[in-house]
Amino acid sequence: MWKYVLRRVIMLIPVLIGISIFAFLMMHLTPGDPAQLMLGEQAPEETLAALRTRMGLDQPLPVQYVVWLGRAVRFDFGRSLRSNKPVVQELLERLPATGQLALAAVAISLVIGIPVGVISATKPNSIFDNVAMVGALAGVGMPAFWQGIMLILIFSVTLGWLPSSGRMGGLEYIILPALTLGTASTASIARMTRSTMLEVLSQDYIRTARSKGLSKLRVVVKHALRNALIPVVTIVGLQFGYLMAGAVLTETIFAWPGIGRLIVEAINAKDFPVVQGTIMMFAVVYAFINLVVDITYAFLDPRLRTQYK
Amino acid sequence: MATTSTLQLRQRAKVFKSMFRNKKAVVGAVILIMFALGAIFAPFLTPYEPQRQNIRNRLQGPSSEHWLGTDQFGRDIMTRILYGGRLSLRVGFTSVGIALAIGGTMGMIAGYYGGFIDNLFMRFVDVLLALPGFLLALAIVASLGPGLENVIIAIGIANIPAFARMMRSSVLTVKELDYVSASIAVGCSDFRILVRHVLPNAINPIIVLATLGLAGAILAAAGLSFLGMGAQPPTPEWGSMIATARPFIRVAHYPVTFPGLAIFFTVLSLNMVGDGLRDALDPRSTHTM
Repeated sequence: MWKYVLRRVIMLIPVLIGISIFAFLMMHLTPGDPAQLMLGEQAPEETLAALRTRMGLDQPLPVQYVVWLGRAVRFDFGRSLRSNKPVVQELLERLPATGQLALAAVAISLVIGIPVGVISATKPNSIFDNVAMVGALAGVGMPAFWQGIMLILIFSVTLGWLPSSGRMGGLEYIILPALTLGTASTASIARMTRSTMLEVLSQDYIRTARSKGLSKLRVVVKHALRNALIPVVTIVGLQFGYLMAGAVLTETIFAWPGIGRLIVEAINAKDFPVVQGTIMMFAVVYAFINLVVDITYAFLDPRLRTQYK
Repeated sequence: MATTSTLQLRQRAKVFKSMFRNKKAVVGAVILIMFALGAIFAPFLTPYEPQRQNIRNRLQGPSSEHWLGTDQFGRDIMTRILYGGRLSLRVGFTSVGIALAIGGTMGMIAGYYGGFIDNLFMRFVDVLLALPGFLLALAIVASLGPGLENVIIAIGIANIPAFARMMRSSVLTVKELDYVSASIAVGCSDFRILVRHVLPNAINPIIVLATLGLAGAILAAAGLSFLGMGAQPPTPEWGSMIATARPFIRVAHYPVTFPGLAIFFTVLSLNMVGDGLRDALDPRSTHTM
């Protein structure tokens, strides 16, 4: 088991180096002089030169990269060009908002997705099942940014029940963003739960449990659900990755002050240090989540465990 | 393939039959064909031009002249959606095409030759997988600059890993089969073996993946354009239409609602067809999801 964990951690290193090269090269891939891009066309030559020196842009690329990486591993991505605050500080200020939103979205997707999947699986091809599965397919195909605007239109503009944007602290502010962000995950989890549940329900031990006289409810909840949820656990883990991506659109619509909105603002303002820092943070968080998912899976699946003994 | 054997024809007929029995797939295909026809014949279907402004007629509701109403510049929304369909289809097909060509080739080479090249390609794929797809595409567009062409490239690159991995695992299973060894024994070139023997066996999962990938690509492209990183106004792109009409939502919601419905139905129908294809092509999945 530990061998497996160690192997997975070591495998992360080249991946993170690769993504760091990409993050570093981002501003050099953009056509034009990076300093000029960041400061604008009219910037005087002295200011440009000062920025070049400050960011080390006058050094050869490999040297720049090594210097940049040396700082990045200590979480130093320089300062934001807009606020002049350290990038890490910006990230840390925004992180709680995104974390809160992601957790709320996961909570919604679990509370709705798993029961819907279980009921669908226990009554396959019933009206409930058909409606739920078409709904789930619709949920996967829903453009989050449009869904968010529609929710605002209905619940804020027309009904006036919920605020349309911001994060003032009250629970009412998180409902619409979390619903928007959680829709696709809810749909995936419902589909996944249904299909694994169907598979488990067709197995012999379920028939045995039923034939020894246990109620259907008890069999489903106590015997089947436990096994059906193993693949669902990993899907939930992976959903966090999609939630990070979805947060970019959701946060933009609801003016939610999180990481997703930060990266969009930074890209539009050509604030490269912030873009680089955000990309690296996303990559590290995503890698960590995947690592936890894989280890959980190995822990739950004895076949994988013995492979690395 | 020059000649199609009767066996293959019979198999194909079976796939079609099972597709037709799947109601979801049929409904999806019908919606999809409607959108595609609408996009192709847009100039004949509407008397308006997608970018012609008519300020006096701005933000009108649906009427007999403007079936879906007009936007903030008085442009006919239906016309813009039809023309927008052209862009979405183009973005979808080209970006999936890029992913399929690069990812598929990489996966095929990696799976067939193994060893160092396999390791190299798969580590590259791992790096691409280090970010969720949409974020990777966003980061690539951020460095290439905004524009629909760059969105196509970005989404294409972001989709490489899925095709590379799928192709690699297909090749790995086919490679060990007897008839491939036989082909090697009679002296077929690697290229011939890959294209004539390995590829046809790997094609089914690839078709499913491409259909679902098309849906994802259209959704991602609309999202990027919504963020202002893709098609720029006044281009009639669905995501960009939603973004530019959004400030007027308290006055009129049609310019936001209808392009969104267009994205929604296109993506939904592609997913329905993809699901149906998977059930029809993959004999292992007995239950429809």
